Amino acid sequence: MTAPREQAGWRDLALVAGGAIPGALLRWRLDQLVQAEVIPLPPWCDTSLIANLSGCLLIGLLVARPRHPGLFLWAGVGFCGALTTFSGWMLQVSLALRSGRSGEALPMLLLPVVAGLFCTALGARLNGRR
Amino acid sequence: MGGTVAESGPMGPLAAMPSALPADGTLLVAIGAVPGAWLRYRLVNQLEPRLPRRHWGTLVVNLLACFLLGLLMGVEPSGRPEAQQLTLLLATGFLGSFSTFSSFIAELHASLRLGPSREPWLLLSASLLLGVLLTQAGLACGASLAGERTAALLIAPGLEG
Repeated sequence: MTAPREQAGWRDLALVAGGAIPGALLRWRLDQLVQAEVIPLPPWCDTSLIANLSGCLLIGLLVARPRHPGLFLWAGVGFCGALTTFSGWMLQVSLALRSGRSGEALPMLLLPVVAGLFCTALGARLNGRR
Repeated sequence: MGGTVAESGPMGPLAAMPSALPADGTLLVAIGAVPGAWLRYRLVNQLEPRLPRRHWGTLVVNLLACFLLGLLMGVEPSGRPEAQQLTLLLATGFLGSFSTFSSFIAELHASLRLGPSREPWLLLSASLLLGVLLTQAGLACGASLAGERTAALLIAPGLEG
Protein backbone atom coordinates (compact mmCIF):
# COMPACT_ATOMS: atom_id res chain seq x y z
CA MET A 1 0.00 0.00 0.00
CA THR A 2 2.95 2.34 0.54
CA ALA A 3 4.45 1.92 -2.94
CA PRO A 4 5.42 5.24 -4.56
CA ARG A 5 2.78 5.51 -7.27
CA GLU A 6 2.47 9.27 -7.51
CA GLN A 7 1.87 9.16 -11.26
CA ALA A 8 -1.16 6.98 -10.67
CA GLY A 9 -2.54 9.47 -8.15
CA TRP A 10 -5.60 10.45 -10.15
CA ARG A 11 -6.51 6.86 -10.89
CA ASP A 12 -6.18 6.03 -7.19
CA LEU A 13 -8.30 9.03 -6.24
CA ALA A 14 -11.01 7.93 -8.67
CA LEU A 15 -10.98 4.39 -7.27
CA VAL A 16 -11.13 5.51 -3.62
CA ALA A 17 -13.85 8.08 -4.39
CA GLY A 18 -15.81 5.54 -6.45
CA GLY A 19 -15.93 3.27 -3.40
CA ALA A 20 -16.31 5.93 -0.71
CA ILE A 21 -19.44 7.56 -2.18
CA PRO A 22 -21.63 4.41 -2.24
CA GLY A 23 -20.14 3.31 1.11
CA ALA A 24 -21.01 6.54 2.93
CA LEU A 25 -24.41 6.80 1.23
CA LEU A 26 -25.28 3.23 2.20
CA ARG A 27 -24.37 3.89 5.86
CA TRP A 28 -26.41 7.10 5.85
CA ARG A 29 -29.48 5.60 4.12
CA LEU A 30 -29.35 2.56 6.41
CA ASP A 31 -29.38 4.92 9.38
CA GLN A 32 -32.35 6.78 7.97
CA LEU A 33 -34.33 3.58 7.47
CA VAL A 34 -33.51 2.51 11.03
CA GLN A 35 -34.46 5.96 12.39
CA ALA A 36 -37.77 5.85 10.48
CA GLU A 37 -38.29 2.32 11.90
CA VAL A 38 -38.57 0.85 8.41
CA ILE A 39 -35.85 -1.57 9.52
CA PRO A 40 -36.56 -2.64 13.12
CA LEU A 41 -33.48 -3.40 15.23
CA PRO A 42 -33.12 -4.91 18.70
CA PRO A 43 -31.95 -2.43 21.38
CA TRP A 44 -28.41 -3.82 21.53
CA CYS A 45 -27.90 -3.31 17.80
CA ASP A 46 -27.68 -0.10 15.79
CA THR A 47 -26.85 1.12 12.30
CA SER A 48 -23.15 1.53 12.87
CA LEU A 49 -22.87 -2.05 14.17
CA ILE A 50 -24.55 -3.42 11.02
CA ALA A 51 -22.46 -1.20 8.75
CA ASN A 52 -19.27 -2.02 10.65
CA LEU A 53 -19.81 -5.78 10.64
CA SER A 54 -20.73 -5.81 6.92
CA GLY A 55 -17.53 -3.90 6.22
CA CYS A 56 -15.52 -6.40 8.28
CA LEU A 57 -16.98 -9.36 6.36
CA LEU A 58 -16.16 -7.68 3.05
CA ILE A 59 -12.64 -6.66 4.05
CA GLY A 60 -12.03 -10.23 5.24
CA LEU A 61 -12.98 -11.45 1.77
CA LEU A 62 -10.67 -8.86 0.21
CA VAL A 63 -7.53 -9.32 2.31
CA ALA A 64 -7.68 -13.10 2.07
CA ARG A 65 -6.40 -12.95 -1.50
CA PRO A 66 -4.81 -9.58 -2.19
CA ARG A 67 -4.58 -9.97 -5.96
CA HIS A 68 -5.44 -6.62 -7.38
CA PRO A 69 -4.38 -3.33 -5.75
CA GLY A 70 -7.05 -1.43 -7.70
CA LEU A 71 -9.78 -3.67 -6.34
CA PHE A 72 -8.49 -3.12 -2.81
CA LEU A 73 -8.43 0.67 -3.27
CA TRP A 74 -11.99 0.71 -4.54
CA ALA A 75 -13.67 -1.91 -2.34
CA GLY A 76 -11.39 -1.89 0.71
CA VAL A 77 -10.04 1.64 1.22
CA GLY A 78 -13.00 3.35 -0.46
CA PHE A 79 -16.15 1.31 0.12
CA CYS A 80 -15.40 -0.54 3.39
CA GLY A 81 -13.57 2.46 4.84
CA ALA A 82 -16.49 4.80 4.19
CA LEU A 83 -19.21 2.29 5.07
CA THR A 84 -17.67 1.60 8.46
CA THR A 85 -17.08 4.21 11.12
CA PHE A 86 -14.86 4.27 14.17
CA SER A 87 -15.72 7.77 15.35
CA GLY A 88 -19.50 7.19 15.21
CA TRP A 89 -19.08 4.10 17.37
CA MET A 90 -16.94 5.99 19.91
CA LEU A 91 -19.47 8.82 19.96
CA GLN A 92 -22.24 6.41 20.93
CA VAL A 93 -20.12 4.94 23.72
CA SER A 94 -19.23 8.44 24.94
CA LEU A 95 -22.84 9.62 24.90
CA ALA A 96 -23.86 6.49 26.85
CA LEU A 97 -21.19 7.30 29.45
CA ARG A 98 -22.29 10.94 29.62
CA SER A 99 -25.95 10.13 30.09
CA GLY A 100 -25.18 7.85 33.03
CA ARG A 101 -25.60 4.55 31.15
CA SER A 102 -22.06 3.48 32.02
CA GLY A 103 -23.12 -0.16 32.38
CA GLU A 104 -23.81 -0.24 28.65
CA ALA A 105 -20.42 1.19 27.70
CA LEU A 106 -18.34 -1.98 28.12
CA PRO A 107 -20.60 -4.26 26.02
CA MET A 108 -20.89 -1.44 23.46
CA LEU A 109 -17.09 -1.40 23.23
CA LEU A 110 -16.44 -5.14 23.22
CA LEU A 111 -19.30 -6.59 21.14
CA PRO A 112 -18.31 -4.85 17.89
CA VAL A 113 -14.66 -5.89 18.31
CA VAL A 114 -15.43 -9.56 18.94
CA ALA A 115 -18.12 -9.72 16.25
CA GLY A 116 -15.93 -7.72 13.84
CA LEU A 117 -12.99 -10.12 14.27
CA PHE A 118 -15.38 -13.02 13.70
CA CYS A 119 -16.76 -11.43 10.51
CA THR A 120 -13.26 -10.69 9.16
CA ALA A 121 -12.16 -14.27 9.88
CA LEU A 122 -15.36 -15.56 8.28
CA GLY A 123 -14.76 -13.43 5.18
CA ALA A 124 -11.21 -14.71 4.90
CA ARG A 125 -12.40 -18.29 5.35
CA LEU A 126 -15.10 -17.88 2.71
CA ASN A 127 -12.48 -16.69 0.27
CA GLY A 128 -10.36 -19.73 0.84
CA ARG A 129 -7.74 -18.72 3.38
CA ARG A 130 -7.36 -21.23 6.17
CA MET B 1 -31.16 26.26 5.04
CA GLY B 2 -34.29 26.51 7.19
CA GLY B 3 -37.44 24.57 6.36
CA THR B 4 -37.18 20.82 6.31
CA VAL B 5 -40.99 20.80 6.28
CA ALA B 6 -41.09 22.87 3.11
CA GLU B 7 -38.47 20.62 1.49
CA SER B 8 -40.39 17.44 2.19
CA GLY B 9 -43.56 18.91 0.73
CA PRO B 10 -43.16 18.17 -3.00
CA MET B 11 -42.35 14.52 -2.37
CA GLY B 12 -46.04 13.60 -2.43
CA PRO B 13 -46.71 9.98 -1.49
CA LEU B 14 -43.26 9.67 0.08
CA ALA B 15 -44.16 12.27 2.70
CA ALA B 16 -45.17 9.41 5.00
CA MET B 17 -41.48 8.97 5.85
CA PRO B 18 -40.03 12.40 5.19
CA SER B 19 -36.83 11.86 7.16
CA ALA B 20 -35.99 8.77 5.10
CA LEU B 21 -35.80 10.59 1.79
CA PRO B 22 -34.46 14.13 2.02
CA ALA B 23 -33.89 15.58 -1.40
CA ASP B 24 -30.54 17.23 -0.80
CA GLY B 25 -28.66 15.04 1.67
CA THR B 26 -27.21 12.65 -0.92
CA LEU B 27 -24.97 15.26 -2.47
CA LEU B 28 -23.75 16.52 0.92
CA VAL B 29 -22.84 13.04 2.19
CA ALA B 30 -21.11 12.19 -1.12
CA ILE B 31 -19.18 15.48 -1.18
CA GLY B 32 -17.96 14.86 2.38
CA ALA B 33 -17.11 11.20 1.80
CA VAL B 34 -14.57 11.70 -1.00
CA PRO B 35 -12.03 13.94 0.81
CA GLY B 36 -12.63 11.88 3.97
CA ALA B 37 -11.59 8.59 2.37
CA TRP B 38 -8.79 10.13 0.31
CA LEU B 39 -7.28 11.97 3.26
CA ARG B 40 -7.43 8.77 5.35
CA TYR B 41 -5.67 6.80 2.60
CA ARG B 42 -2.93 9.39 2.14
CA LEU B 43 -2.44 10.01 5.87
CA VAL B 44 -2.20 6.31 6.74
CA ASN B 45 0.38 5.81 3.99
CA GLN B 46 2.37 8.81 5.21
CA LEU B 47 2.12 7.97 8.90
CA GLU B 48 2.63 4.21 8.85
CA PRO B 49 6.41 4.20 8.07
CA ARG B 50 7.01 7.03 10.55
CA LEU B 51 5.29 5.45 13.55
CA PRO B 52 7.08 3.09 15.93
CA ARG B 53 4.45 0.34 15.72
CA ARG B 54 2.64 -1.39 12.87
CA HIS B 55 -0.96 -0.42 12.13
CA TRP B 56 -0.81 2.75 14.19
CA GLY B 57 -1.44 4.93 11.15
CA THR B 58 -5.09 3.87 11.16
CA LEU B 59 -5.18 4.41 14.92
CA VAL B 60 -3.98 8.02 14.61
CA VAL B 61 -6.52 8.75 11.85
CA ASN B 62 -9.36 7.20 13.87
CA LEU B 63 -8.40 9.12 17.01
CA LEU B 64 -8.28 12.37 15.09
CA ALA B 65 -11.75 11.61 13.72
CA CYS B 66 -13.01 10.87 17.26
CA PHE B 67 -11.85 14.24 18.56
CA LEU B 68 -13.29 16.12 15.58
CA LEU B 69 -16.65 14.32 15.74
CA GLY B 70 -16.83 15.00 19.48
CA LEU B 71 -16.03 18.64 18.82
CA LEU B 72 -18.74 18.89 16.15
CA MET B 73 -21.36 17.12 18.27
CA GLY B 74 -20.33 19.15 21.31
CA VAL B 75 -21.05 22.35 19.41
CA GLU B 76 -24.30 20.98 17.90
CA PRO B 77 -25.44 18.17 20.20
CA SER B 78 -29.14 18.11 19.42
CA GLY B 79 -28.96 18.43 15.66
CA ARG B 80 -30.88 21.67 15.17
CA PRO B 81 -32.57 21.74 11.76
CA GLU B 82 -30.30 24.64 10.82
CA ALA B 83 -27.27 22.48 11.49
CA GLN B 84 -28.49 19.28 9.86
CA GLN B 85 -26.86 19.98 6.51
CA LEU B 86 -23.54 20.76 8.15
CA THR B 87 -23.82 17.51 10.13
CA LEU B 88 -24.54 15.54 6.93
CA LEU B 89 -21.53 17.05 5.16
CA LEU B 90 -18.99 16.94 8.01
CA ALA B 91 -20.11 14.17 10.38
CA THR B 92 -21.93 11.62 8.19
CA GLY B 93 -19.95 12.31 5.02
CA PHE B 94 -16.45 13.49 5.89
CA LEU B 95 -15.72 12.06 9.36
CA GLY B 96 -17.75 8.89 8.79
CA SER B 97 -15.65 8.20 5.73
CA PHE B 98 -12.39 9.43 7.29
CA SER B 99 -12.58 7.05 10.25
CA THR B 100 -12.66 3.33 9.60
CA PHE B 101 -13.71 0.32 11.61
CA SER B 102 -12.97 -2.30 8.94
CA SER B 103 -9.26 -1.43 8.65
CA PHE B 104 -8.92 -1.32 12.43
CA ILE B 105 -10.42 -4.81 12.76
CA ALA B 106 -8.59 -6.21 9.72
CA GLU B 107 -5.27 -4.96 11.15
CA LEU B 108 -6.12 -6.28 14.60
CA HIS B 109 -6.97 -9.62 12.98
CA ALA B 110 -3.68 -9.64 11.07
CA SER B 111 -1.80 -8.75 14.23
CA LEU B 112 -3.48 -11.56 16.19
CA ARG B 113 -2.62 -14.06 13.45
CA LEU B 114 1.11 -13.30 13.74
CA GLY B 115 1.21 -15.36 16.92
CA PRO B 116 1.43 -14.64 20.65
CA SER B 117 2.44 -11.05 21.16
CA ARG B 118 1.34 -8.03 23.10
CA GLU B 119 0.98 -5.95 19.90
CA PRO B 120 -2.71 -6.72 19.19
CA TRP B 121 -3.65 -6.08 22.81
CA LEU B 122 -1.76 -2.80 22.79
CA LEU B 123 -3.53 -1.79 19.55
CA LEU B 124 -6.92 -2.81 20.94
CA SER B 125 -6.60 -1.11 24.31
CA ALA B 126 -5.09 2.05 22.82
CA SER B 127 -7.91 2.23 20.25
CA LEU B 128 -10.71 1.78 22.77
CA LEU B 129 -9.31 3.86 25.65
CA LEU B 130 -7.97 6.73 23.57
CA GLY B 131 -11.03 6.61 21.30
CA VAL B 132 -13.40 7.21 24.20
CA LEU B 133 -11.02 9.71 25.81
CA LEU B 134 -10.59 11.83 22.67
CA THR B 135 -14.31 11.76 21.88
CA GLN B 136 -15.04 12.97 25.41
CA ALA B 137 -12.35 15.63 25.06
CA GLY B 138 -13.89 16.74 21.77
CA LEU B 139 -17.37 16.87 23.29
CA ALA B 140 -16.09 18.91 26.23
CA CYS B 141 -14.18 21.34 23.99
CA GLY B 142 -17.16 21.69 21.66
CA ALA B 143 -19.54 22.29 24.53
CA SER B 144 -17.33 24.97 26.03
CA LEU B 145 -17.01 26.57 22.60
CA ALA B 146 -20.78 26.60 22.22
CA GLY B 147 -21.37 27.96 25.70
CA GLU B 148 -23.17 26.77 28.76
CA ARG B 149 -26.59 26.39 27.16
CA THR B 150 -25.26 23.59 24.96
CA ALA B 151 -23.40 21.99 27.84
CA ALA B 152 -26.65 21.68 29.77
CA LEU B 153 -28.36 20.05 26.79
CA LEU B 154 -25.52 17.60 26.37
CA ILE B 155 -26.11 16.09 29.81
CA ALA B 156 -29.78 15.57 28.98
CA PRO B 157 -29.91 15.20 25.18
CA GLY B 158 -33.58 14.17 25.30
CA LEU B 159 -34.70 17.62 26.38
CA GLU B 160 -34.85 19.08 22.93
CA GLY B 161 -35.83 15.98 21.03
